[in-house]
Amino acid sequence: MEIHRYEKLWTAAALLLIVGFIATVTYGALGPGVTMVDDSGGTIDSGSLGETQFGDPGVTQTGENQYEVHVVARQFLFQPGTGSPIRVPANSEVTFYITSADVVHGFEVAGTNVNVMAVPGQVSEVTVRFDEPAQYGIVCHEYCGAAHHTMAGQLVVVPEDEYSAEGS
Amino acid sequence: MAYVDDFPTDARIVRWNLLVAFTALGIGGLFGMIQALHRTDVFRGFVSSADYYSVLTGHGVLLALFFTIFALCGLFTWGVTKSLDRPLPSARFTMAWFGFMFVGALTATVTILGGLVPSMPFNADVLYTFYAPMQAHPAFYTGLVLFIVGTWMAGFDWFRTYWRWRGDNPGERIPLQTFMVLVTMLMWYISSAGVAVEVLFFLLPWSLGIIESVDPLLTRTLFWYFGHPVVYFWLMPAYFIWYTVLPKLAGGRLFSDPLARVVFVLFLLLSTPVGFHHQYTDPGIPEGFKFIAMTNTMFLLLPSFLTAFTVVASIEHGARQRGGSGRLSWLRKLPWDEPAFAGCALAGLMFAAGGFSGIINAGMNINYLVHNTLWVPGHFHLTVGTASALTFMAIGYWLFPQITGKRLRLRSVATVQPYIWFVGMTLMSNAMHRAGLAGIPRRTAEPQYDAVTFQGVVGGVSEMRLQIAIGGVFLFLGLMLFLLVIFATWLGGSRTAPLRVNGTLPTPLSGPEHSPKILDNLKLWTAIAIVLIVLAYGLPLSAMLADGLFAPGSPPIPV
Amino acid sequence: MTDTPDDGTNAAEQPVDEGTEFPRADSDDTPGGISKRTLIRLLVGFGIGIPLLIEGITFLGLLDQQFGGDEGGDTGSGPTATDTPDTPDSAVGVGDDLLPETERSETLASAVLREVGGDRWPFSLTVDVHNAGDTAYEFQLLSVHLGDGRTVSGRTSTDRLAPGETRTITGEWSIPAGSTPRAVDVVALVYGDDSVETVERRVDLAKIPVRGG
Repeated sequence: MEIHRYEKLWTAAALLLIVGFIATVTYGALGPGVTMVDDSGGTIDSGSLGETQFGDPGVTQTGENQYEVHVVARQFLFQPGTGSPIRVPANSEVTFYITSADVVHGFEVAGTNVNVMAVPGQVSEVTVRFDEPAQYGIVCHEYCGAAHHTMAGQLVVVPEDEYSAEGS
Repeated sequence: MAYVDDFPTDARIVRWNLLVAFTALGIGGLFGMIQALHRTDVFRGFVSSADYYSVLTGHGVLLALFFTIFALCGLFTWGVTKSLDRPLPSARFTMAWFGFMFVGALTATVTILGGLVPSMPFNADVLYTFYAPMQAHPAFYTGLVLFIVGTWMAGFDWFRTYWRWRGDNPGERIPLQTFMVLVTMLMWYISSAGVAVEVLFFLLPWSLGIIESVDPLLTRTLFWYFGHPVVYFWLMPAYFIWYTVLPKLAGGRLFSDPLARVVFVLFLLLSTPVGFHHQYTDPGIPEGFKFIAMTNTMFLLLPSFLTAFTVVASIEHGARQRGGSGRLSWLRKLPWDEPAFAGCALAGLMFAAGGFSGIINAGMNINYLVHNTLWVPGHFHLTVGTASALTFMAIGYWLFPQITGKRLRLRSVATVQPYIWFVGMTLMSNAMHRAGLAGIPRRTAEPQYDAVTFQGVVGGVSEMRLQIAIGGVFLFLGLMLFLLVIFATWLGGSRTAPLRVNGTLPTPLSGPEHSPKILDNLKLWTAIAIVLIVLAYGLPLSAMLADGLFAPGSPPIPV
Repeated sequence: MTDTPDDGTNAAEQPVDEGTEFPRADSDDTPGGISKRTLIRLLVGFGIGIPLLIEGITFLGLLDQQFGGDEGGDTGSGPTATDTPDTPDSAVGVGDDLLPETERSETLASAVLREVGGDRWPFSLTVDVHNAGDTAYEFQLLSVHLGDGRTVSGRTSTDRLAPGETRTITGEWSIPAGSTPRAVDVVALVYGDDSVETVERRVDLAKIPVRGG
């Protein structure tokens, strides 16, 4: 097969670019250590969340600067998040456990890379570092029904000295 | 002699397919404009925010399934019969597959539109992805099944034509257009199996109450097994046109037939084992398999890069034939005032941009920044919305006269239309990408929240909204102009005046005789494709099935 | 079929290198009188020029954002120009008093908005009214004001409450699907010896999450 010289050069350049992209993504996974949501959260029965660790969703402290937040997404609110904001202190490492009580929802902390799906039957586990005090909005970005566009919440990162460790 | 004179029966089927495609395009496009005005809060008087989702479902299904695939069926019927120089073997069978597709599409569409009419008890407000546990009316799933089965039959019709040709022409290379059709259909059979299983074995019986619950993650995964290769089902017909017709429109010849075959084989191999890149943020799927999907996806760039080279080289050849010279000034010699050429060229240009924004989507951890934000529609309106849609419209100007025998009318309108589309799409997609970087969600009737403030990366949020609305209106205008030209031609065009267009396709500069015979070994490539799929999906799927076919299960939740 | 340009001259058919028009651009005129060359310049100039301009501006904006003003720019989200209406601090949520200025208490016990199929969704507010004063008192829930500017009328009243009496009322409205209740009109009637003092207010409501099917 006759391949024009320019075409060979072009193909080589394209392959180099492709490998470069893969390398960039790999660096992101290894260097800064950005991990993907995976199956570590396990499965759950979406019809009986009350009997699980999601029965009383909210924030709990698990270590010196470590916290866990259990969030239930349902039509059309986040528990916690919508009625009362999720509150965590600055300079902490927070692991979110998110699931859905009904249909597929999204959980996006706008302006950050916290962006996961809440799938009924599955638990999404993500660990996030919060350094500075700030106020974030949480958006459901997966269509979940007629009031999908009303589904939102708030996440507040409180200055360390102002935070009192109560649930949610 | 035009195509309609050489192949009257097949021309009729091509006409029907294209007319249904363009009707779906018209309705879907109208919905798109309604959406653009609604979600930007420019005008919310067409529908309520709750009904917005019926409109959105209609937009997705009519455009991404019915418009694109009916257009493919029209183009491929034309391509197969023309390149093999023989009609499809059985007019009855051909009508049968068209009938299945049409009835299926009509059923699904009526169900979706039922969501807008309060007195109708059925609806399908589940969007184009119809994720469980949200449940649509069973008629919706039934319509989809009929439609997909129709496409399988269409593929068989083309294969059968090829086998008959092969019987009369042993040892010859498969003509390029037919080669592309066959390879595309092989990819389709492999990939549509996923959604067929999802709908036929899970969602349809579940919506009828025959099974009690389905595993939402499993059904979602089966959808995305199909959901990525379907975009190549939209793209490969566009490439089919860019490779085999666009060179002629530019005044030249295809640079390389062998490379075109290589590109299509690469799509057959790599289109399907990448589905997890639509599920990067899903739980329940191990990171290693997401990584494999990422690398496969990055390699999928290769056929598109190769296409860029070949298509540009072919166009350059054409320009030089027309007297062009110099490094770049040959571009001036191209027929930019010919709507078929301009549309295809602009579509190709826009596709380059779309490809790059797709790379961001593919970038696994980078995807966290854009998943389910407005960036994603920004991306796919460049690809399916322009590379495919504008190519189909542009080639419509060229092909429609040949399949009707009527001269194209309103040429001046047709000349301007591709540019209007291109400008409108740039406005809309540019703003969508920027809005996505700010975190503004897609698929949302009112992305304005009390609790959430979005920070624009470049430019403010209200300016982005305005740009989306303006872009959407431009696109709708472009669409109406296109339909105007087609209808004027169909209804008013003269059947007696000689056509201006010539349907002869020149031979490539480097022909099939230069391409290794192994490229035509369709069985080999199919086998490799299947192996790659097993590697990408085998373990994750069996893990999902391990705890039961229907577990963890969810009952249907009607929306 | 031969390829014939608009002016009727016949081009010789070239089976292989089939151009669609003559290469000599200046000699062709379109019916509008614009020369082909000018037409192409306009089309390509605006049609490709404007998009290139838009993309160029965006690219420069990105560079500026990265290396110019903001350093980095991805820590937290500062407040920016979105034009969502800010819920006033006085917005009443469940557990709050609707009319804090009266000496009687009107506590919002619950606020429920349900998503059901169809175009109207049921919305209800339940208020516990306690007449802590020494004269008769009446409290009414009237119209609900929606986020899109529309109003849905209604009237629910406690009727006259004697001093010390408590009553719970539930106002119900059928609001257009997808709309957001933002405020409710309330009237309080304080009965004196011969006169009635009227307090009319539009009370802002805190966000009420929609409940699913």
